[in-house]
Amino acid sequence: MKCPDCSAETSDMLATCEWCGARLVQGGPSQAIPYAGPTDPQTQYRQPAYQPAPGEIPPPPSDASYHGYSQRPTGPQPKPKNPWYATPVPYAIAIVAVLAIIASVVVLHKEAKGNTALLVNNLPTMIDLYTDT
Amino acid sequence: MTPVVDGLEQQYQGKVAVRRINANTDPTAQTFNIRGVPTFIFLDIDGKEIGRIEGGNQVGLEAGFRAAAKQ
Repeated sequence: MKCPDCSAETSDMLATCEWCGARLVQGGPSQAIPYAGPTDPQTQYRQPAYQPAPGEIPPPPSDASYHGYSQRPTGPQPKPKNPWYATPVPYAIAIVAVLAIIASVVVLHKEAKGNTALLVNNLPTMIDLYTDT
Repeated sequence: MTPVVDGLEQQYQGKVAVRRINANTDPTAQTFNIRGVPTFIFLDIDGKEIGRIEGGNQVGLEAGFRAAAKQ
């Protein structure tokens, strides 16, 4: 859109003119922010806005400012508050799994040892399981 | 099957011993998790089960005695 203050083409996605800083009012006449002038030359100095000559086409704005990307926050992204490795649950599950594996190995080893109390005269023995009926 | 077992016991005397357990009265039978009788279980000299025959299978019984005698 055309800035009513400096007559330069500026983005209608922004609230102020890219060239002179005047406030843009969408769909109606805009009101330029009055330039009060520097009260303190050391701190309040403001560079005068670029004023295109009559009939001159102002240079297009950069893509970043044109699409409003320049206002994207650039700081580090916040980390998740409670990641999985900061909770005790996965460690507890891992400990229980290891204990279960150890217990199963011990039980299997015991079963594999056999029961020599059932042997007769320390010989290989055939157990005959019968019924009276 | 009793005559067959008695004959094999005589044949393998000194090599394979026979222990008879009444599955109805002897609580030792519960340690073998049998599904029916007769059941014949062969143990090696470490007491570890090396074979099991369920039912009256004379051929299997003879093979079990042979295998146990080699232990």
